[in-house]
Amino acid sequence: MEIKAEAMKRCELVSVSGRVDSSTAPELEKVLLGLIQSGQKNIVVNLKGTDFISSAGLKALLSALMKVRKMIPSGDVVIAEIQPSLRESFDLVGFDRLFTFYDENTHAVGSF
Amino acid sequence: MNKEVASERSETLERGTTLRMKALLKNVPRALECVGKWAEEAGFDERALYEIQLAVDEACANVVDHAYQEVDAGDIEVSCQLDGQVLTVRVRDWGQGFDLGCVAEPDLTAPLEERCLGGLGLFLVKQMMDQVEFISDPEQGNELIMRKRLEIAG
Repeated sequence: MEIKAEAMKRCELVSVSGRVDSSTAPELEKVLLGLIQSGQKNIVVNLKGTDFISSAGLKALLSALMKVRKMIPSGDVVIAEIQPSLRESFDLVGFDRLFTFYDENTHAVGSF
Repeated sequence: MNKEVASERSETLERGTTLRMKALLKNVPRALECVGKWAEEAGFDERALYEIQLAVDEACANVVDHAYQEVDAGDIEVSCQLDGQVLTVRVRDWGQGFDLGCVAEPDLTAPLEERCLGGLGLFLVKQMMDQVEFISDPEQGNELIMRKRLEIAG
């Protein structure tokens, strides 16, 4: 798994590639929580290059979303360019109700 | 495929494969790779391979997080076997026993502020596999047995 974090004008773009399994998910969680702790509350997670995600990865995203939503004013974590096979897992665990998904990265970044 | 090769292949698949390793998160990808390669050889398609690997990841993570949580990491054994058209994956540990019945089903429709971070792993295992069985023994440890039918295209 590789993570690239890039500061945009109104949000942080976090691009994740490779496999987010139980051995790599803690690193994703660390990066997301690090950004939130440093004051960033609007985050785009681009999953274009991610071909596997386990519940540990899903929990890392959910935990980040919960944290930014509690901030005043609240922030958001949105998902961009997710692959269909991964999207199925998100839908199965009800994340389609919690996260906003964007087919295009520019729309995700532009949503903030 | 000639008869001899086909029969050799079927014997190999019936014999199955076993991987034993230290129950550490960093070792989990080895189990996924091993089971993935083997299930591909058995004829599972890309979608089923994803589902099987996801179930194995969750099962192994469960062992690391729960079975050995208060003791030094012991071993984890992952084995798979094809019996007819049914794949059986066993994930075994020698850690503390636990009652799977106590794991609450996640509320998937709860609003964000009421969502619980836990419980998704076991839920996904049940969704990905056709049949899931759990045996826990205070002396012998735990075994999660997961089965998936090989769908024949056409």
